[in-house]
Amino acid sequence: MTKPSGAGVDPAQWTNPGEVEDLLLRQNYLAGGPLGMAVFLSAKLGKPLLVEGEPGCGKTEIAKALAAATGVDLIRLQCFEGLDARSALYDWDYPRQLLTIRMHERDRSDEALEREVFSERFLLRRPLLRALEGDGAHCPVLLIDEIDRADEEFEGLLLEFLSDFQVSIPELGTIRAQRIPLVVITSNRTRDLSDALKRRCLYVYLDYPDPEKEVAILRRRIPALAPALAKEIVAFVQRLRTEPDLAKRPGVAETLDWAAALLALRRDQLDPETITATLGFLIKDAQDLRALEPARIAAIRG
Amino acid sequence: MASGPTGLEHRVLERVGGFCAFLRGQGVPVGMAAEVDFARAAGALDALDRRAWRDAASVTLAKSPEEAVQVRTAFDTYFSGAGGGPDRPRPGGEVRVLGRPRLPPAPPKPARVRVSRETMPPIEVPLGTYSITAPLVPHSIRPVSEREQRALRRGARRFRRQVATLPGRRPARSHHGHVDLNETIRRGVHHGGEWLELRRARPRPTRASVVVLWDVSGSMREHESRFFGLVSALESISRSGRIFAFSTGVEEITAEVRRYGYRRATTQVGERIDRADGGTRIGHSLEEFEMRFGNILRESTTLVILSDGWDLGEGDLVAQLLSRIRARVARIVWVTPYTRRPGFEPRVGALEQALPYLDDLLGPEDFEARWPLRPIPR
Repeated sequence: MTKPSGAGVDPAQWTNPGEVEDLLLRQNYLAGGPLGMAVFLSAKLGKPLLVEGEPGCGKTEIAKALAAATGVDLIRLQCFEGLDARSALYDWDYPRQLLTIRMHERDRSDEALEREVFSERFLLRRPLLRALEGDGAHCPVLLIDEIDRADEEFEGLLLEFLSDFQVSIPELGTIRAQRIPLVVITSNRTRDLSDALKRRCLYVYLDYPDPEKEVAILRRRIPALAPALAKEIVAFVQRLRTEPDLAKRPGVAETLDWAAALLALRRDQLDPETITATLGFLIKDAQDLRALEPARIAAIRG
Repeated sequence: MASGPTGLEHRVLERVGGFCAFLRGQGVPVGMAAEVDFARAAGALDALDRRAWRDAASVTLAKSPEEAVQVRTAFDTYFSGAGGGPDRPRPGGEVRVLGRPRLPPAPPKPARVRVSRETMPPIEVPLGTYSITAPLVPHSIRPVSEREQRALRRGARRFRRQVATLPGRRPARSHHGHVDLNETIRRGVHHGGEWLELRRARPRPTRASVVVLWDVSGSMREHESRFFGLVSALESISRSGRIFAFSTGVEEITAEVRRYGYRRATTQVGERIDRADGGTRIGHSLEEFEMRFGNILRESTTLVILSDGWDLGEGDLVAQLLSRIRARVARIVWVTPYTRRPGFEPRVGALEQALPYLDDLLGPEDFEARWPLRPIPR
């Protein structure tokens, strides 16, 4: 769980999308157009927000910025193949259950003992359940990251949670959210998500930003970067993204890493040697790196 | 007691409903839940903030980047008052919200050569050739009777149980499964906390992930109605299933089969699979399928090929591809219309090549019959 750093702002009090954009801007996150509207409506309608887009375009950052902006906890559930209810919802504390059974085997009946060991005391709360319970006063931000990595069955598990914000535990009953958390679900679109899941969410797609916005992001995130170099970096990256045969195009995260590297190398302009030496910050595929020969890089630079 | 909508709210709701209907007419599948979301969003926004409305429509009604573009374009058209429509902005920024807008003309459809069955000159497809430029002729798929369709669906459900690979939520006791601590502890309670036995379980397989490849070439035309009934039945048993039609190429028709009811889907699919008289290239179709859609094949997938196996002969391409595909899926089932004919032997071109890689060779009768599915001995 990530601790919040910003002052508390109740999402229920938001009056317009512009307010959300301003709050996120204070966290150095530029959310214009549909994204600001999506976050605003997600809070207003109490619906999860499904964010799809290219890797490295700021999907995960939205949740972090939101948590910081609203001053609440960020609860993150990183999805992976094989993720199941025990890792996502809840589990029982089996060692403690056994100890308790041993301690009370003589003075309690079987039924009383069974009731006790399957009570809330022995419940291990996983991210989804923690997000439902919150701390009473504040609703946390729940980030379900890269849901396309999880199995389709896990989506089925999420349906009850996302539509009713409740979790059914056979031994305890149904646990409902006192306050609906802000839920951000991200996906890299490596597979199609089910219609049932999409129906429960508001949807926004994050594409690569236009040059002006990308320069603004660079200036916000790396204030020490010279404006001319920022423009030069963005121009190069934007042209690189249009190359037809790249297996993986650089996202904003890669641009930021590259800019930070150039700043650390004290470069104030791009030259072919520097680009070749630092291309690994932008390109993360061996074949792409081999394909980008010096002559081709020169052509991309124009 | 909740009060009804005011006059302005009523008009806003009317426009939201009108816009969603317009979107559906444009082919964007807008569900009721999304429409309600858009209406609720509209209530939270300034009624005159056009940009906010446009963003809200995109966020609430679209479920993919392609749909987002469609929604935005449709929004601009619907609320533009183009051609003197009612939404033309008045001086002072006021927007009139009364009446239905004049719908713009439908976007031109891709050029097609439409030839009616009556006027169509006879097309001969000589064996050994194919043409990707064969005339585009919409298929007229006749819906099968309700009784036949019910029988096919029953058969498909039986089929689902027999080819189930995907784990369900209910555990089944198993000597080789993982340790079921919940159940072990429950049993232990009755023995003073002693684990007298470790209870083991594994998820009970309940579902199949089915991918269907349906041959819609000329030689299959006489079986088209019955096989489409089977396609529809197979679609209904697997929510994550995908349906593809092939002849000289492969086209995905999952959306058409899934979105509309069975009867309406016959028309929609019939129009979609119009390129079918150019011959059959099963090998090349499988190659295209593997290249374009190979990423959907998983260890849990059952691949069902509906074809008579007649093709134009492309060496051992079918064998090569099926051997590769077989290594990636749980099961390959071939359904051919001729299995129950006297003297049937799987000796026709592609089918003979495919035989070593098939798990089952079935006929549509196996799905309609009430007895359990039985693979035909090879």
